[in-house]
Amino acid sequence: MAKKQKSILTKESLSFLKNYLNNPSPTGFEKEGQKLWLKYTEPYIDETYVDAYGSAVGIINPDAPFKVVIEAHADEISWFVNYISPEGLIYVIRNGGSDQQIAPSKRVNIHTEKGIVKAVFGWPAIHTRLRGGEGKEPTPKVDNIFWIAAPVTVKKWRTSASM
Amino acid sequence: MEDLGIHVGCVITFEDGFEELNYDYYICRAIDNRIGGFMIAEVARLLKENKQKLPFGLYIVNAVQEEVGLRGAEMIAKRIKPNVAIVTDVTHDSTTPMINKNVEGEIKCGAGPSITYGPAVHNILRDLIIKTAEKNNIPFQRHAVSRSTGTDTDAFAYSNDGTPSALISLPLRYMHTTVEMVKKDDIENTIMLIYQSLLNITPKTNFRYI
Repeated sequence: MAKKQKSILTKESLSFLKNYLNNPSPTGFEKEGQKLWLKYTEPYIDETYVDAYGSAVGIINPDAPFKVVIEAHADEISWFVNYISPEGLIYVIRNGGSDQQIAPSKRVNIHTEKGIVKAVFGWPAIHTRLRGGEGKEPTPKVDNIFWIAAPVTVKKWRTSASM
Repeated sequence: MEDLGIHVGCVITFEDGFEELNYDYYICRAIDNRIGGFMIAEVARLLKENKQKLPFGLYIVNAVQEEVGLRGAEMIAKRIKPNVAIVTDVTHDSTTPMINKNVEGEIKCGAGPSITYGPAVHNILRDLIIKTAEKNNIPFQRHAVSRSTGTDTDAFAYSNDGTPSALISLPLRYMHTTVEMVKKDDIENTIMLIYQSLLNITPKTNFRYI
């Protein structure tokens, strides 16, 4: 049996991967992720720059006339707050190809200037959702069924839970 | 709501984080494409640690705004004006239920990076990558696309006067869900394939079709 080769990934690189993944970097708002990436790559490159919209470039041999790019994209799909109803429900639109079918019952982070607010994508209970209408299972759609339960409640719960 | 700082225009992300599953599978939201930024960073690290001297300028680019139409790559390609671009992103593992292989082709986690065929992909650069994989015993899969690749490869290929570009993708299950899943071996093999391909490129490499 062939002996398994030593991984090229190190403890440090896997630790970076974990932090880099856990940090949100939504499309158009990639700044924090880019900072992590620039910090990690800094020892391995000669020069860096960041363009007006936040794309980050690390350069080895910046003076060479022949230029080779290796490239990946830094952003992740997300949602935008689009409308807040008088009841405090938040309706959303996509930022990138976000999938409405997987959203119900998910916990989310709303990114605000005051920090992250925890919230959820709600969904009617299996018991109640069929009594509402035509007897058909509702399908999650961006425009009519989406909401995020009032985060005020969540914040109260968080405060008391942390005490 | 306003007290909390929530207003129209705030961005919302799922909270699901990184976990390691059995058989060397990693799951997380946003592996598409944070894993790409990780892999190109690892290529830079390996080049440095192995003291490799490159005969060209290497631009390691972590571009923004791909998910809304390759916008970050379009901007940065114009600024760098590269001679060659190798792009890495994720691609669909097509072996789980409800995916039609007759339509999607067959790509699976654990079988190595996928190398894309399509008009936007430069044939000579792609063949250089395939030869590199064969020479170094790096497993790989082939993937064909109609028209465009749907990745930043298109942005680089059609930038400036036309830039020889290729796409090396990491197979991924359940794209755009909160449990995007990839295999560690594939990550290592994708890094190695990009790394070794760079070692086979020189300013004298002839990318002319005719």
